[in-house]
Amino acid sequence: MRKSSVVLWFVCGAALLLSFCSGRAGLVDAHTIELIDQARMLDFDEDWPGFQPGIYPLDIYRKNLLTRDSVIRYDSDGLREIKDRTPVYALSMDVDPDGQVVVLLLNARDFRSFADAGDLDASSADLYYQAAICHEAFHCFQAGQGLYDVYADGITARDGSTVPATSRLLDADDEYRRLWVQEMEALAQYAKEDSRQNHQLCFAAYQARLDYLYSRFDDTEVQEYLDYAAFYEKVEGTAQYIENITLSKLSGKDLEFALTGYAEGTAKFYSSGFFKAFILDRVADFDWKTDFFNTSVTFEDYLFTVPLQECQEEQ
Amino acid sequence: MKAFIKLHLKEYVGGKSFILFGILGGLVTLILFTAGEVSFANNPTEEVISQFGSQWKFLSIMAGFAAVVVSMGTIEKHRREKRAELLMLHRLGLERQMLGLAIGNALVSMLLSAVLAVVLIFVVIFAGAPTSFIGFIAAFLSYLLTAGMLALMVSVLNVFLPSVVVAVLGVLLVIVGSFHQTIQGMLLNNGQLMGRILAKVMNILPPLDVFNRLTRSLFFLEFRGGQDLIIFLVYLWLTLTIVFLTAKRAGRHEKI
Repeated sequence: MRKSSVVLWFVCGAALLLSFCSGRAGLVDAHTIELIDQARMLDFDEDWPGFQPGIYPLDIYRKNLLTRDSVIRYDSDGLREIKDRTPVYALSMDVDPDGQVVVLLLNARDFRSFADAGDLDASSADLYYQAAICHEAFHCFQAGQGLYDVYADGITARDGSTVPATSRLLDADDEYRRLWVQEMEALAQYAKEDSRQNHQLCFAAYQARLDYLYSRFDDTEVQEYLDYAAFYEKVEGTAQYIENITLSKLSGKDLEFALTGYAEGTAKFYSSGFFKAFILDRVADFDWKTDFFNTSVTFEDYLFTVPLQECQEEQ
Repeated sequence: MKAFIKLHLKEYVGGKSFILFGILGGLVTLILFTAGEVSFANNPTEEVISQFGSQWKFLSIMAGFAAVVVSMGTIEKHRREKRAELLMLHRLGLERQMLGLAIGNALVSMLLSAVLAVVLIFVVIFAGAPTSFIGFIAAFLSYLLTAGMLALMVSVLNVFLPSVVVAVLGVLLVIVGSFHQTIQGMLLNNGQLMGRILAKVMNILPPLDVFNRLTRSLFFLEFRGGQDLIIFLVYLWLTLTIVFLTAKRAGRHEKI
């Protein structure tokens, strides 16, 4: 190979590396900031009074190629790098050392890389990113409402808790899985069509699942498991509700209610909580949100008791 | 060297494996189009995007495996059969032989990848896809080049390592590369020092999922920013440089 060709080849390489480095310049890319700003400006006052995604600071994970990765704080003061903290690569809610609730976030590109199984295009990935921001911001809102004070014990972390064992057994139990799916299908149907018959079907399916639980485990185990389920439905189900509303607002599509099957661990409570939140929210003049996070009230307390039916009858 | 590459192509192109790959690719395409849609409630992705996107993802993984199978033992076999001495007598140096074999492997892999996607091409043309002629050609080119790049990497490994080890490493390269960003994210997420170190080390491995995203963004005509393209070109440049340097080194150090 001629010397000039070799030189040209290495000049091309240097140019590529230079383009790569210049593409990474800045703390956070402009596209990510644009998406974050849009999400933070969404108005949820009609969906959940008091919830404003824009008031919570964001800690964005910054991948550095050669040096240690870092945290970029984005709040009303703008962007700044926090160097003395180990970053967490997650989409989550967290409490920083100053006691401030923050949203842990990735940039839009990393989010798409992490979430994309080949089925997302750029615009859908952006919508999911914005919906995820609102989901995590809602967890910050829940914390502000006192949810984690009510459940300070930390349902699964309690010493001697029977929940992990019960949960594992139930995940492997075909009959329980069938009963759960049956209940979720009834809930999805009720969410699609508001009728007394669908309400009764939901209640019957819930009762059947409850009977099965009591026939398999002792009362203490069942109560612990139901507390755990109620906690995750409350935390993740309502956040999923906000996430789906965000997707609906941004994409212009109506909310959909479908079940992909039984999900193990806490994953199943996202969709069950979403269905239940939607059903309760559909009832006009029925205030279930004010004390939902600062008390240990559950979805079932509202769904299968007198207040909901009274409101429905008035309608 | 051209004649040597032609010889290599003659030896590997055609035959049963190409027909089998064509059938396999066709089956995957048809299965994914009829029953493989990844869909769940409140998903804002259009069905057609989801279908074609999954197609490209699956085909690129299969093309990666094809590239590994094609390239994992050719250089070792070439040395074992003592063809190198014969070719050196015909004034084709070892350096050029290695280069020829690596390029030949890349070309065979690209042809195999093209055969894998034959049914997809028909679907794109006749069933209508959300793309244009230029978008499709650009996407197809990036898909083929990814397979070619993998073949070059595996060929380089085969210069130093026996084919069995190369096969294992090649398969690992395809699996880890196809889910590179997800695996890296999981390593970073666990918060352990070792996880963070491994995540940094992973930057050396080719992010095939990013290359696949480039293919899809070109196909769906939503190419923007160019960061994925730059990463793709950087890896392509690095791979070609390593192939060239390895061939040069092999030519210098191996005495027959």
